[in-house]
Amino acid sequence: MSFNGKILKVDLTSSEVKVEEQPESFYRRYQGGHGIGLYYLLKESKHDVDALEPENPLIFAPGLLTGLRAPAVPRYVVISKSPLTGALGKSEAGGYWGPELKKAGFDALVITGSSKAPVYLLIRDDKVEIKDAGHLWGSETGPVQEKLREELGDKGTQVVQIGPAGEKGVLYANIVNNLAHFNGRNGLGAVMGSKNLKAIAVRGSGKLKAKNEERLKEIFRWTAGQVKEHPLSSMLHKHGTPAGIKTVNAQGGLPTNNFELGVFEGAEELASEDYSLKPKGCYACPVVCKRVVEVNEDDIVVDKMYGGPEYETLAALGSNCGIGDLKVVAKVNEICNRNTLDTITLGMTISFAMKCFEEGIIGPDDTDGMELKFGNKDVLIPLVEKIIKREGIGDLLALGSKKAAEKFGPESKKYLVESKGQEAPMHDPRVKTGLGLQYALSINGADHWFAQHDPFFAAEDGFGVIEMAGLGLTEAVDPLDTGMAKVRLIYYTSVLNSVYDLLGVCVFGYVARSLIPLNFLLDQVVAATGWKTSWFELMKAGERAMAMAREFNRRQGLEQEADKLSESFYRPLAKGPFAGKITLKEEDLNDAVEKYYALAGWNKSGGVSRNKLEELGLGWLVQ
Amino acid sequence: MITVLFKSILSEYVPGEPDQVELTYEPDLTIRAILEQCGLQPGHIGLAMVDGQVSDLDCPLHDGVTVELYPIFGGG
Repeated sequence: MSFNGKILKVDLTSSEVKVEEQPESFYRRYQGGHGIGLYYLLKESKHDVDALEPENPLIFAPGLLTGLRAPAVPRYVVISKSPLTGALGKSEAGGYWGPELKKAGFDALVITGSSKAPVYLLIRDDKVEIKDAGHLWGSETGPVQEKLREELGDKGTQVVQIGPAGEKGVLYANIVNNLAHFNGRNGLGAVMGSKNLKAIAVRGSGKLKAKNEERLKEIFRWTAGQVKEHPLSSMLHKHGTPAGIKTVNAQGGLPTNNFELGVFEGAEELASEDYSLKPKGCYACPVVCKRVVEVNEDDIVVDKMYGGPEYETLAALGSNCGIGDLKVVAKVNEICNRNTLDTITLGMTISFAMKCFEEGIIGPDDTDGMELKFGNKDVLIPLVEKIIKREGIGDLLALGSKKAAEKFGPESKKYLVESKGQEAPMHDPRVKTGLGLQYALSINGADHWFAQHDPFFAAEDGFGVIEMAGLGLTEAVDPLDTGMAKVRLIYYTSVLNSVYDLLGVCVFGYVARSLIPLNFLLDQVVAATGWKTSWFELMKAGERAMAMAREFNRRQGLEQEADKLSESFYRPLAKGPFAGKITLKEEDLNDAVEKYYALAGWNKSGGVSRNKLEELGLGWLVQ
Repeated sequence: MITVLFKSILSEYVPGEPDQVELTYEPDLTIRAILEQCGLQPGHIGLAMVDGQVSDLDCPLHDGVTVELYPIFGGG
């Protein structure tokens, strides 16, 4: 089977370690990933807890398929209440840590409480210890991983950890495994820091055994053989996500100067592969698409140990701040990775401050004398270092743009670009409206993988329409449409992406963004578990997890009013092919959100109806 | 003559110069037909432009135009 039937529970206040056993029926219902994570979050958390209080649980949960020798399923989720948004915190990462936890015999790790002094957790199969981390506290991620592996005498130990930004409570601090794989969003590193938990080192000697190993091998061999042939996986393998910069810029949707412009004159340099080395991959993944960058020049040195800037980082810290110097962006990416900072929220918070500076809302007296102007690359590194240390202006910007706007004053709020308090990723809904729906509806704040992206469905011979016809998505949908066709596309694919997260799937391995088709994914679930299952059951499991997430937000007081976009998205772009055109209207977006609720069986306030909860077997959530 | 610029990784699908092909003009020639000649599927293409304007794949091309083709992208 692909699961162990065991959940590890650690209370850092009492130092109590427990193992809870779960039957097969639990996995059939909640699968893995956010299904299991949300189950425990809803069971263990109080309604009104602050995200940084000890009572806020922090849950790590690999996907149902994670840990098998199956292609592109290395992912695990971290679930908690987000300190950045006050909504659900949910962020997935690939790499190697999730598979290792499964090999150690656990399907999830539920952490509650808070340690009085810094600790790390050591899991070696069923031996679990809470160990002193006083000597690691304050250190960056590279030295910590090296020291832990050295101390434990085992280079194969997988380490998930926070850097100094998480320790200092930067509200968008993230969590990293293997130095370059991030649970990037929602500030979950700050939750880990609030628990005085520096790292979790895992080593497992077990091996998950699928019910039908041969079928998994067949699909693995097929994938490995096709990676360099299929245009999407080939592009990811050879060029990684930065290859998207030129297309998005030509389309007029490359976030530039705090989302005011859709084109950036420095896009060619940002997209350059001058400093790229051979890419690295994740556990059992033949796509191998993680960028590695090294710079060894007189003015800048970038350490390849920390990976390299992906599309999101290039745009967030590059074009979105008006900066086209690839070396500087790569250096800031390295600093973020060493210290565990979300590069999207960081870039967006800086660009927001730059816009406020240029509009005269704030001045040098507010910025420690720094000229926060678009394109001023000289301020980027010192400003990021101030944020990590929470010094001066950095202490305010460590809270993210929405909380900074409270200090900057009401005039600044029209320049926010966020949903539920999380800054938007690098995809402009004015060029593909489905992203607007995604940002508004994302249960954990603006998220670009809540559903699939519009371009794959723009034509009947597009990869999305071809590959997802079996889900009922048989027609092309205009990227600028906001009617029922778009709502259906986003609804169906949001449930699909929820299934992906349950299983541990990486979107860079599977359709529509990559090569592995849906029937192969179903085959893998059958091969892994022996269940006589179907896409119907999987989609219902996806719906179930979304309903639980929605219910968590309702308990935080977040309903329809939270499913909104910043007004920035309703202003036309100032440059590029869409300049001056209103392509997204607030009333159309809000109407589409309501249509989505209706399709999902949610009520008009965005809550999950009692009937829908009962249908999904979530009667225990009905109060 | 029609000039076709294969942007970004699409250049790997054409012989000769890294990213540029000159085609002899033929009546009713479309971008879709050019893609077929190069072994590219329509799904490969994220954006097609003719003389700087967004174009669909089935629009007949006039003599002397420049076609720019960008690979599909969605989700970084």
